Amino acid sequence: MSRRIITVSSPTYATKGARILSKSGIPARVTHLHASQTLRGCTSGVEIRPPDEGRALDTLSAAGIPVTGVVILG
Amino acid sequence: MIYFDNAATTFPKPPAVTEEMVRCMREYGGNAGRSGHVLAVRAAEAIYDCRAELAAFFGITKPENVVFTANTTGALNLVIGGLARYGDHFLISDMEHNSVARPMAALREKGVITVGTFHAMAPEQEILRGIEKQITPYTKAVVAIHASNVCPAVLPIREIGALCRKHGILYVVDAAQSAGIYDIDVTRDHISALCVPGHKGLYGPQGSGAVIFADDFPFSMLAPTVFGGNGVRSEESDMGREPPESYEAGTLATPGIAGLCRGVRFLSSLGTEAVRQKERELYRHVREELCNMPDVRVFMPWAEEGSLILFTGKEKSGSAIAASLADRGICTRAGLHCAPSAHRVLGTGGDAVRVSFSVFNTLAETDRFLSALRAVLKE
Repeated sequence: MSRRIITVSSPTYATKGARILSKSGIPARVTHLHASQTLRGCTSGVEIRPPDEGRALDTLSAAGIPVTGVVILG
Repeated sequence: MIYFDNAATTFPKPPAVTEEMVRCMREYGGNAGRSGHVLAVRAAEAIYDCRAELAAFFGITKPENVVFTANTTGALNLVIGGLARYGDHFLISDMEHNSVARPMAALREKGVITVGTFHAMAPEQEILRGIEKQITPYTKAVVAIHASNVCPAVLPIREIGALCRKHGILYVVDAAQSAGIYDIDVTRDHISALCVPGHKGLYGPQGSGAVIFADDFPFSMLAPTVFGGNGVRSEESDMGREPPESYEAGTLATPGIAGLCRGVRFLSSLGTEAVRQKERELYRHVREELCNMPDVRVFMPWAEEGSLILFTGKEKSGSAIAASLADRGICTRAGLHCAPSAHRVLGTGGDAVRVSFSVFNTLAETDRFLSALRAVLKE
């Protein structure tokens, strides 16, 4: 199955976002993407399960986490 | 040994601080934000934990608004240097530590800013009038101590913060001597940026400090002052204006930050009121005894509480007294304490002894200090 990583603007927001998602019942873990995996160079992100993508994006937006994109790997 | 130099740095630290620093270096000392491997992620988690602890302790809701520095001096330089633009006017008190006085002087000498001063050792309304009458359309910020590092003077930060908010100017607080001792709430007290040392009242290690920015701080006004790698948008040459990483170039002191987190938790479990109560007891006892010594001059003896007390000998210099006390295993600090303007205001002559307390000091230690001082004065 493909992986879903919601990229955010900083490592700090990745940690904050992962914790907010976990508290909201959405399993999430911090990850780091290399330049070859993104269009923006190295970036931090939060990996979630593909079915949780929509809910995760809504939750992060409500929390004021600056989302920069969604990367699908695999 | 008796350690009464806690205004310089607190000693000892709670055991959990040292333990966590060692654990970090042994178990999870990766470079946060640079990779996705387990050590980097765990380091990032530890750093975020400290941001969250500091945010909660100082009354903001955004951990990302906590920017780590090496100390209060680094924090103040980050804010002052980042805010100052050509033609800006800043207001400082006449008792500032060199960590405010020197960057202000440097920017003024370059012709970038103008600086006005207000009298700190005055009744509250006079302090506020002294600030308000100097505010101009070009005033960017008030930058001032909360508590002096040489005497028990404390400024009314909530009232100054309200005044700054009323006039739409920023308020930067040097909390080097008050963080962890006084109840400071960045939001409630209308503080724009609170500059704190990790290694004094927060009982963290040396090499730790932070700026606690208000939730609504206008980061568009704050230019980065240190440039380098931060694990964010590496392909771009611009550091950006997004906290915290835009203001944290280079590798963070992860073990120090992990230790600081434990220090803040130690304080949170105690409460600042308990800290003040303990230090007040020590202060009052020492003040009473010093004021009864005919060969001693105490500065600000009317202050009913404080974390430190400043005195000099009528016959002996402060430096000579401090040296003799050190020979007896009692650690104090003499001289100007990096705050020459405060010494001028107090009229110390430039050389006085500062005795400063922590929660780990005891009344028994103060009695031993007083006995030693009596012996020194007789020499």
